[in-house]
Amino acid sequence: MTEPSMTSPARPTVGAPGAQLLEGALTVLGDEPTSRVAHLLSLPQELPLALFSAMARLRAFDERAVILQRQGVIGTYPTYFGEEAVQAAGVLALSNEDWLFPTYRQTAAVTLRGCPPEVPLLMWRGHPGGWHDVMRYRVAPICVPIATNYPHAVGAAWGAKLKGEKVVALAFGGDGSTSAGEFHEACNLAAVVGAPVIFLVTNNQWAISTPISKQTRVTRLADKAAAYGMPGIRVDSFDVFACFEAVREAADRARAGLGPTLIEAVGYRLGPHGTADEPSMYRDQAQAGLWAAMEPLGRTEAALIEAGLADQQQLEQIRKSAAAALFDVADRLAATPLPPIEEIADSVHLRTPWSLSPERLHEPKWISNG
Amino acid sequence: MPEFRLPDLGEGVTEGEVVEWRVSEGGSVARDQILLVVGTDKATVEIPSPYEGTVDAILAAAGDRVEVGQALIRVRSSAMDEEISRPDRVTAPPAASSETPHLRRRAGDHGRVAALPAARRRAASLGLDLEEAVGSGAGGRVGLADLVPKGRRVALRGSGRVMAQRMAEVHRHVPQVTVVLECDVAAVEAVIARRGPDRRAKISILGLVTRAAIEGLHAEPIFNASLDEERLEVIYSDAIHIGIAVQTSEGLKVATAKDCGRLAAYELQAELDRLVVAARNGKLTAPELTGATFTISSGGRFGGLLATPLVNWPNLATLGVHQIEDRPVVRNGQVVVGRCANLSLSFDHRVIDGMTASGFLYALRDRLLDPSLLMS
Repeated sequence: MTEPSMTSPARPTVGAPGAQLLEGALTVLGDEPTSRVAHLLSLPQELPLALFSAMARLRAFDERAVILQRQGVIGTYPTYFGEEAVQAAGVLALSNEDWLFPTYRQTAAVTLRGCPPEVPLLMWRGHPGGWHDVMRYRVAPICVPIATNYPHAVGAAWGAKLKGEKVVALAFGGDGSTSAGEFHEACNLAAVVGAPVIFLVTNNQWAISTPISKQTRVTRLADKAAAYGMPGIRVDSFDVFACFEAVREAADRARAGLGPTLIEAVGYRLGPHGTADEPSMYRDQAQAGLWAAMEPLGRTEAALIEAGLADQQQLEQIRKSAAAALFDVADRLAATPLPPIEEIADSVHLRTPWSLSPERLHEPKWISNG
Repeated sequence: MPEFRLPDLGEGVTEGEVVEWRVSEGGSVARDQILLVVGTDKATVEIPSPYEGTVDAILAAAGDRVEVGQALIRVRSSAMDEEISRPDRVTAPPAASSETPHLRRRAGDHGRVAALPAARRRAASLGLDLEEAVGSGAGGRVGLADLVPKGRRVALRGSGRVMAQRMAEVHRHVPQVTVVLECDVAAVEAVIARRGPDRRAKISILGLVTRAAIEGLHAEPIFNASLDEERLEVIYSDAIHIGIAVQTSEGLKVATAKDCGRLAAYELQAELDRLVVAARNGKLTAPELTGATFTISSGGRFGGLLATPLVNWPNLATLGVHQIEDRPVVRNGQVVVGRCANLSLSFDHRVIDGMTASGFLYALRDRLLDPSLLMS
């Protein structure tokens, strides 16, 4: 996972696949150099670097997690290489009082709210220490079944509205999730009750091996918003500043009592679906390679340097220290004591069945991993 | 001393194949440095090292099938003899492996056998134990000559294993016959010598032969078909997918030019060039390794006078292109020097008779005698 060297933060030129797909999508980095520099300089002073640092931390987590999976330290893992801009913007454009409803691809988002990275990594290790403090971080437990987090987010947002709190809920998702029933139910109800919720859908063109063309006949997922009576925003998913603007606009609307927003963050899945996936089996990797220049960290670096907000060394240092913080995380994970095996049956059954009784669980075949 | 064991690399993967090692015994290794590449039925992945230190022993050779939990490598900590805390423990499967263990390692940590690097590689590929070899070199160093596998049984692995199974399978299924013609390739070579317009890539003999074969497949679709052996029905393919046999360091691969029945000569050439390069670099994707409906085997300079290529079952025929050389030919009653190559066509005689096969080959030769018509 090496980043291509970037010379320009701009979009790929005409002919590259991105040019067509991203047409009409909200952009900052794709603007003329003078206007994108002006935009960056108009932001609160700390914000551009804060966004970059958040992305660097997400990248470091993702790269480390892939290594840990290859070493058998954690189980299967869904990499989000290329989705850092969407995640960083989704978290930083909201306040820490707002709710996040992540899927399995945003398990590191909670670290941007101060949770130690060991916690989500323990979750991938199948360790009960992997439960982050939901109420403290205002980040819901992750949802693995596709689209199931959308109704949760609507419920939280609607509840906040009924209680008169100025709180927004943001649910992450992917293109495949928009075909699921829960997406429809959540969008519909959110609009009907005016729930302050943001559906932040990354359209990376692939739901594992299913291309978007086999997912829906709608060419722009944001168009689906019209059917529910809410605004839909299309934004370049590799452009952290544009994603930030999109989420901020949706959050402002929600707080003003104007209800939900669907954001379609358009891009392309740069990596595999997860560690057990081989994209060359089902898609043209040369096509994917054309998108590599859109890789969001490199693009952001170029823009920050162009605007004079940072120099190369400073940015490299941010990346390096993010990676260094996780270099020996495997040791810390290994040092976390394993829970007693009886816990595996906790919170599952009212009356523990014989098959999960302590006597059974202590049979050698179960504890050989102990 | 920590041993790294194969983890479950996919979701429920139970075994994998060692594709290649990126470290060698005695070499130092840093944390996160890629140790080896492992292929599973899900994906082929690089394994980064959880340890820092010196590689004490590599416990599985390239090409070996390894089970989840099986030890792959032993690393000696750089910090004295203190054991490095292992980030994880993967339990070895309790059942004993039925396969004969190979490349046995020394019991102790010391006394690494002196051997030439080439000898180490050969020992690994033959499954021989360097410890047991009697070194004839200076100071008892083991050389290539000391590693003759006399009286040993060595298991075929990886591509060798695949070849053994595949060839036997083809022979079991296909009663095949080969027809051979000599072809004057002077005109073909003249076309090859020309540069294409727009400085495009040059046409190769493989490109022209493939183009000629495609025309033959349009004319005689039976050569682009397969046989349903149970129902004795011929299945005509929807499209023409040409398999190209490419010799690679991983053995013979058949790279497939998909749906190339309507490609112009230069388009076809570009696709063939791409596939051959991808094959040599081991970059062919799974779809590019399957689905051929007709196969061409061009031996190039080492194509021999002639050979009987094996039908790439379930294809019904395979075309062979053999060595080009100067040969005496008779023209207008005179013996002159001609540029010649033999063409061979092996076919499945259950479906195709000799007359039809000869007809296909004669027509192919006619096209190569006037190759400018192939350049459209």
